[in-house]
Amino acid sequence: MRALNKFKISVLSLFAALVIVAIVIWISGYSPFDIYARIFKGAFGSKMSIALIFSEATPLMFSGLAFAIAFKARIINVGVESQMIMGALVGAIAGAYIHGLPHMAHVTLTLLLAGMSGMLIGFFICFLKVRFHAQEVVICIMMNSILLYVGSYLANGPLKAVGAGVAQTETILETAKLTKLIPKSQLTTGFLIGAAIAIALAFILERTVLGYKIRVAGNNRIAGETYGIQATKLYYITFMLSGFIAAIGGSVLTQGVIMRFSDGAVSGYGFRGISVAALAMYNPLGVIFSSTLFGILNAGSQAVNRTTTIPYEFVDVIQVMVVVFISAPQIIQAVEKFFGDRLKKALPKRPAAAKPDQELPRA
Amino acid sequence: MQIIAMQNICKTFPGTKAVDHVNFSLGEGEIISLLGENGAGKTTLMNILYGIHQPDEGEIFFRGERVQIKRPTDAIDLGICMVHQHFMLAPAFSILDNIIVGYEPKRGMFVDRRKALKEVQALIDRFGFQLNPCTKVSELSVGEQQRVEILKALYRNAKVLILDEPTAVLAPKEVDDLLKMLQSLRAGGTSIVIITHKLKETMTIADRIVVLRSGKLICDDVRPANTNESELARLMIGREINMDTRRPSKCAGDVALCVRNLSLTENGICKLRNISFSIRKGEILGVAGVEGNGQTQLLEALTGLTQVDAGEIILNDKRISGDAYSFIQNGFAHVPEDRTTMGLMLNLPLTDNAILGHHTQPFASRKGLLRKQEITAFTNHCIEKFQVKTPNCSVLARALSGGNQQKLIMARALMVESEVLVVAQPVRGIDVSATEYIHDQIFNYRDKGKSVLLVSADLDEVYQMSDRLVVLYNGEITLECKPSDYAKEEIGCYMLGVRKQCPSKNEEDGAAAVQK
Amino acid sequence: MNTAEIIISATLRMSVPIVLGSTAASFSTKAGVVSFGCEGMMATGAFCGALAVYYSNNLLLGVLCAVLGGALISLLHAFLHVSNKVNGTLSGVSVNMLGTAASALVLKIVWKTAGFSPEYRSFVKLSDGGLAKIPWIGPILADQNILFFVAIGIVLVSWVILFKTPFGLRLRMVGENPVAANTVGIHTSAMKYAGVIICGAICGLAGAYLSLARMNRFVLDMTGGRGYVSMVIADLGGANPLIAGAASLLFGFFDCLQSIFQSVDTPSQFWMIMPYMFALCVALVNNKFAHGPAGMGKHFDD
Repeated sequence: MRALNKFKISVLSLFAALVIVAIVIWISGYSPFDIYARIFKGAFGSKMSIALIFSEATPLMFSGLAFAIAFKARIINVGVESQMIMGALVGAIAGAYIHGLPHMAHVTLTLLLAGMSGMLIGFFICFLKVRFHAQEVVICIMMNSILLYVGSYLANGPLKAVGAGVAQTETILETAKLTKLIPKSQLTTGFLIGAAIAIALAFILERTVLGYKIRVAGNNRIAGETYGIQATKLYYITFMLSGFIAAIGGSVLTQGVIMRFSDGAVSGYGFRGISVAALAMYNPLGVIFSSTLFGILNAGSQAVNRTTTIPYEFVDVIQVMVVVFISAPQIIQAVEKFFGDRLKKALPKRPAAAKPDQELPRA
Repeated sequence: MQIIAMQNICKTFPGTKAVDHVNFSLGEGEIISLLGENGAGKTTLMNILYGIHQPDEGEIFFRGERVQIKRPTDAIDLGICMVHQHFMLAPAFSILDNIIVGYEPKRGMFVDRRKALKEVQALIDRFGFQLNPCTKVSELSVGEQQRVEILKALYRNAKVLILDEPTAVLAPKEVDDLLKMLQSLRAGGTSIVIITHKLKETMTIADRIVVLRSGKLICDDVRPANTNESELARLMIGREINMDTRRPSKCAGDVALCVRNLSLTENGICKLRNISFSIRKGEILGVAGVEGNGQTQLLEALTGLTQVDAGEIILNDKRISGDAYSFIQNGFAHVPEDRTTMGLMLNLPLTDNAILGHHTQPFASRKGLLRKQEITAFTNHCIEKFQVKTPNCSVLARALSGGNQQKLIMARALMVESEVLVVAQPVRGIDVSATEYIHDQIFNYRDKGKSVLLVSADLDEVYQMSDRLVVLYNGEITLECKPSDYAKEEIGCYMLGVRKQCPSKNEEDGAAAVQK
Repeated sequence: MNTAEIIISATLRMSVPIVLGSTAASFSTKAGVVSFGCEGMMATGAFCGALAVYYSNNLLLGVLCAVLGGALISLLHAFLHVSNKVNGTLSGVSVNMLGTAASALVLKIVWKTAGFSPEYRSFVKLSDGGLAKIPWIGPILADQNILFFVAIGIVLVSWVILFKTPFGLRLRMVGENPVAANTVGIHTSAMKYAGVIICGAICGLAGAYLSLARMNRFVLDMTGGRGYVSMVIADLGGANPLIAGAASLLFGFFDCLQSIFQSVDTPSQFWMIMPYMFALCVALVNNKFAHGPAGMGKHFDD
């Protein structure tokens, strides 16, 4: 019952966001129906575009999962961005400089190393939060900026690829690249890894003692501590888990799409992950679908952007509006009630309205 | 001349009818004592008068004119002021700012602090308070904070002053001062309503006594001269306090829990001094005392939430230490004093709430994996056994009423094998039938040969439930006795620190009790 | 001007948006609302100001639009957090994301470019006035534009409003203890709305400084985390505009170092990290000597 209600709110929120943005598109002189149709066609037009949907969804899924799992313990990890940058960076280094491993081993090792680097960031942020009682949000935001510049420095300086014109590291080795699910596309096994992690997270949350403790600590820290569940320890575990997932996401981006670390290539996914997680109501399994949905929007808008001058930035606005509507379900409920009442008023009139219909044949 | 008349007031909260067709009136310069048990609707009625709640039905008249009190501002404009049980102060502000906020004297666009200071100082001098208006409220004692609250009301030219449980947090000397002050206010023409469940003060100060019981008006024209405390108690509770409901222990056995010389100092204030007691198997030990005399710290020490500075806790010859988890593992069951903040996760389903604390028990999890079916079965068992009213076990804890929430917490504590039950305020804010049920369950648990430590701010409850009781005052045990040996009024004297059992007798009693 | 004067002057220039931002954040913080949305409010202000000046060529109108834009988007923060009790950080994130996404969208629609606007008129230095003749500080003041002086005025006025007027006292009471504020008849939600909207308006002005004075075009992400830094600085100053304003100068100094040393042989990123490192360190030591209001994020009917 509750699950159904949550699902309804998610769908209605997305719908409301689409409507609001449609109005914006209409005001700025375009036809919203035309644009949405183009997006839809662009996203599902060909095998390659469908591949694009899932490859666009992949990093969003990772950042969405990272944010969602942290949120289960009521940690707002706005530092997903920093952990993704770290993961992408470590992935690029491990992918380019570890030689002589077979494909599977190299891919796995690279992902794990990246994940652990993200864990380290998560641990560090949590340590500062616990030790200094600082707001984690502030630390996260500052870490985002700091790691952005650290990455930029490394790509510009010590790790800059020989002979490269722009700031980027060496291309990773063939053995470190993720296997493509559809040849020539950017869709790799990364999507499957993300989906597997989502399923694993759902299992952990619902079926294990650790997941139970995370939910308890997130719901009522004091009650947990009264009955022997130490919230601090769980903050560490959850933050590290969140960082781990985010960093793998960064590395999947490196190993599957960019093939190197380049300045600014990983930016922006952290905050979009919040939209993804919110649309999924912070349910890991839901994140698979919500990220795919945003994948459709992104892939479609890229198609639109190729063929017309229509601004594809409105896709970002749709994603933000989704967060707004999801976080204030009262709006959706109010709108629903408004239309529901109208509908109820309209319904009893139906028999009356049916009469002219019956008379029609005579006329 | 009536200053306030409330007619036919009704107010329903989800699940309970808090105030049920109540008529209430207050005369000029009159002190009314509004008596009733916890949850009788006293505070709700006064919150309606003060504009915090809106009545569902009924009318309010002020000096004969019908008034709408939609917000506290409306009440303040009429000269109705309220001193809440939990003080409504900003600790970071000075006394002066706390008093004037919302009613500031202005000079142009600015707050006229000089004028405010003069007026507040004048008020302070008039009542002989020892307060400096520029002190921060965080530096004040509880009694002083209450004076600030009263000053706040007087500064707003209160004609009607409502005090919610004003003496609950005060030392006896402070209570006397307060009552004297209220009398002098009455002499100045202020009408006063005291919300209380304390009979003694009522008898001392009230001109008229109004009694509420579960939302209904029982009587509104009792004069202290024409009544006595036991009659008032009967009116409040609806029956003579019936000693027959007591179920003394039949099978008290060996000592199970032994607490020796617990001491605890928090922020430089001594909260527990050398606390020693023991509980036998099949015995309920009650802890009585005015709230804030170390009960919370004692509970925390006995559940592993606080590490004591000195002393030991021994259960069945085994010394227990460590955190909350190891206390639970070692046979302690805990029913915390505040069920919503400490006892439940309101936004999680009942299944998750039912296994809190047992999540590592074999029935709930194996090798780190939760056993969903067994958990559901356990939860259903709890629900059935303790008559928790709920459609099923997957609803959120938030959806249960207070009584049912408490039953679930009791079920959680009692359904697994434990040696000692540490239970605090088990029936606070709960209706009568749930109260009786929960008390029965505690008796049943004891009759299985288990030990119970019952902490309650309600002396009646401790008196009725305990086989033996101790009184905590200022972090010390001032009395250890059997309820049958002392009258309630006498115990009250120990609770307020008027009397103290001499230490040697205390030890003898304890030793005697152990030997029996 | 000598080197010292150049550094001081640059520090002051760099400080202005943070000074304004931290003053704005003070209002929000004092009302007990997390000032996490400052970044988005600044971005919106910067964009609205740019748009208005581009079309009207009128700087005053630009500033006015920036202030309005900031206030308007802050309404979303207030609506989500105060009216709908959404976690303050989460609603702040929404505001920040909306600020960026909406500016990018409108930027594309209006100018058909991605990331930056065409150039337009902007505020100029006051160098031709009599200001430069004042001894000592004259040259430094003459190196600033009019918004610098407006910012100083706003800091002073904000301090007076917060600490000397009935409105300020009530606002702070709401932040400290919303339940208590409600019982003395203060409309807590309205006060929180007021705090957030004032915060948005001043953030809008800070944005205007970025897009109309510091540069003469709008660039996407030109706020560069200044909203977040403002929040940290406001916390550092105990949400007192005077102290926060002074603390902002420190940040401005690091920001100025960055622009000076960019040309030197050390990696530029090192200097760019400095302000954030500084803000991070501030956040870490802050809890030792500054406490936010006791009622942060609480509602009167909780």
